[in-house]
Amino acid sequence: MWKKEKQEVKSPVFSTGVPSKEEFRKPSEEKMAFVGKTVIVKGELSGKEDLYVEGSIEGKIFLKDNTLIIGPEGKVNAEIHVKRITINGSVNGNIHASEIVIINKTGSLQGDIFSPRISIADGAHFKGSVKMEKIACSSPFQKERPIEEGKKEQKIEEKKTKNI
Amino acid sequence: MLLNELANKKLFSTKIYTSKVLPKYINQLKKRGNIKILDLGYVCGKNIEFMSNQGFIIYIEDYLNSLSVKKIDSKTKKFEYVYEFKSFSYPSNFFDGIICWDLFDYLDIKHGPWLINEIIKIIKQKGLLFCLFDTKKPESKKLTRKKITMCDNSHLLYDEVKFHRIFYTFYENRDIYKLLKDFNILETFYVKNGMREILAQKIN
Repeated sequence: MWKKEKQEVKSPVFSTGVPSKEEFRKPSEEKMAFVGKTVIVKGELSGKEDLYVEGSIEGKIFLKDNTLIIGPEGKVNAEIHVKRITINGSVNGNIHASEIVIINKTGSLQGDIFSPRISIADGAHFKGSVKMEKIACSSPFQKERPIEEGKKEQKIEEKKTKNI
Repeated sequence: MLLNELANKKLFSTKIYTSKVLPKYINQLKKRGNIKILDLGYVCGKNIEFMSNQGFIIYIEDYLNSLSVKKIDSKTKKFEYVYEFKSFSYPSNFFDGIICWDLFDYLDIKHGPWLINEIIKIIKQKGLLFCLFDTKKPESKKLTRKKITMCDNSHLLYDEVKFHRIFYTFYENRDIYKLLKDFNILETFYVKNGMREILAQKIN
């Protein structure tokens, strides 16, 4: 009855450029907007939710705080501004990502990448340049934050249970 | 990191070799500012990350994969494979360095000098060219190409990936010097696995 639910404390993860399992999450596992196979979008696309593309987009994409996943049959011909992007299909245009750009083996990119982290599968079709932009705050202390935050949250929960 | 991982898998002795040219190449480029490099070899994620972390702006173009193949049915009813010659779309005198790993060996004898002329157009004066040539003639039915990964500043990991090889041109020393006649060869190094590393600088 009084058993506390154990909280998972994340260990500090140092960036190696290799994407974590979370970064490879399938779209079905998450609530995200979906552009189907037969859908064609032309113009400027912006929003505040993650987007999965299996159709075709032409123009500009602004999802600065969200993730964009291009499915194996997705075709994007656009300038892209996102937090993170995973390419399994075809992209033609420059990519500005504030977190990471992932190109998987089935992915194809023709354009320039501006991002602090990249992960490009060997043999992926890629023609363009890569400019690694530094993360605004990349001190090791910031990376260790999850533990501290986790501990703080644990303490708050402990206090709550005592009060009860 | 990668070196340790591979050492644990006991691949260290068989596939990783010391490079004499790579550290020189990186050090000489680092002396310049706003460095732009073009990699014409197999697309290798680790290399892109490695070079980007050195502060270079890296341009990627898998030249061999981007070539289209023409089959010519001549009067003799023989099929001949020909690569279409492909020019670069970059501005002239643009790159500080160009990497051509395991590329010339896969082109026919006329294509190599033509590619070098294209490279001369886009590489800056005193720009550095890092080439690799195979010193062994391939087996007759070789359907692979090399994937070469930068482990650190002075080690390269050699691996093979599937590739339909159409041509093979074997370059001896004198052929390489003839090919790179517009370059000043700064360093040559024979790797234990039979590869020949060449560092060349464009003559003014």
